[in-house]
Amino acid sequence: MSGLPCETLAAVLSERRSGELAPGAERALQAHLAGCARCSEEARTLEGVLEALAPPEVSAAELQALASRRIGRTPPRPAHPHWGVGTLVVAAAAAALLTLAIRPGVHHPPRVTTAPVQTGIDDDLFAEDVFLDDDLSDDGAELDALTLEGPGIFGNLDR
Amino acid sequence: MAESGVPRQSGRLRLLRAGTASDEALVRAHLDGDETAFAELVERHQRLVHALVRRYTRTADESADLVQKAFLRAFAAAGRAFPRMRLSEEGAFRAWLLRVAVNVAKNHARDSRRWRLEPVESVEGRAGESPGPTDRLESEQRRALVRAALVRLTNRQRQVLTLRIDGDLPFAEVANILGITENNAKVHFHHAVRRLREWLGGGVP
Repeated sequence: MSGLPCETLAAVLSERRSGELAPGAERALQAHLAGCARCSEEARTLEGVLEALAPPEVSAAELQALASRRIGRTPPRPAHPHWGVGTLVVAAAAAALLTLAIRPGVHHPPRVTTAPVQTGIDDDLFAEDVFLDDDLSDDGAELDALTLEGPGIFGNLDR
Repeated sequence: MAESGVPRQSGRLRLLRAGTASDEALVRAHLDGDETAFAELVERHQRLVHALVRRYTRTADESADLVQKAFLRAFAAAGRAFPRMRLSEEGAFRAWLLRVAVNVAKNHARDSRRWRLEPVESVEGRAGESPGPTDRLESEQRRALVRAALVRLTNRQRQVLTLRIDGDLPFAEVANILGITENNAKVHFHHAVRRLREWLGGGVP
């Protein structure tokens, strides 16, 4: 299937259904399906699944139920505003320096190193890709701050 | 800090009211104690969150409950999770919220057992034998069939499918939310649809 990877055919069909397919890609798809009986049949059955997956219109009852919750009227309290890990790192460093400074029997005062230590750690720890991998990965690991009900974010029904 | 029962009026309030503040600015305002910020974020995103969770419920009330739960779960982690986000990046909050919503919906399907998790084959067979006296029953049977099949998908396949089909999001955004490439998202989607075709069999029109 040149130009139309078989591994993404359903995605291409989905894009066509929603009108996202560029004209050139649309023509390429049609040309290929017209000349390939196997892919044409594959596309037909995949279209059937996509049709079955189409969500029904949101009903008035659903909108009413949503409105009745007044979700925006009950803001949760921020758990620990302004108390990020970075703040804790700085506090811990200050405590360590203070401890070393007053420790008896120390002949050589500790050399004070400044900001670069924390800056480097913060950049790594707070990188979004690390965050994304940690909290919702496929193997069931999750960020403890986002612990939902049950034994994990993803359940045992997953294969 | 509220004084005399009046919500705190932060300097961002004018922006919030004008609807021009980014989600991330609203999150910061929320963390600063601005009580209007949360409402604005809910207003912006609750329709989409609702779209993501409703397939995994049976009633309108269940769906609304899950929407509420998704927002509260997302914000309950505000103190720890948000400082770790790159809130300077546009879309960071939205991605976080939608991922929470998908997971809340999945947990509901897994834990609540508000519908019988029966083998797809049995639902399929029954649907084939007796479509039911009304269109509504047929529709509910079809939804149950699809719902049961969705729960059997892998995490990633279900996430991609839900964000794409129910959230009606472009694959590029689906990929961004899940931290994968767009092509990877499309591949997951393709395999998810193929698996559903296999499982749904005669249930597919």
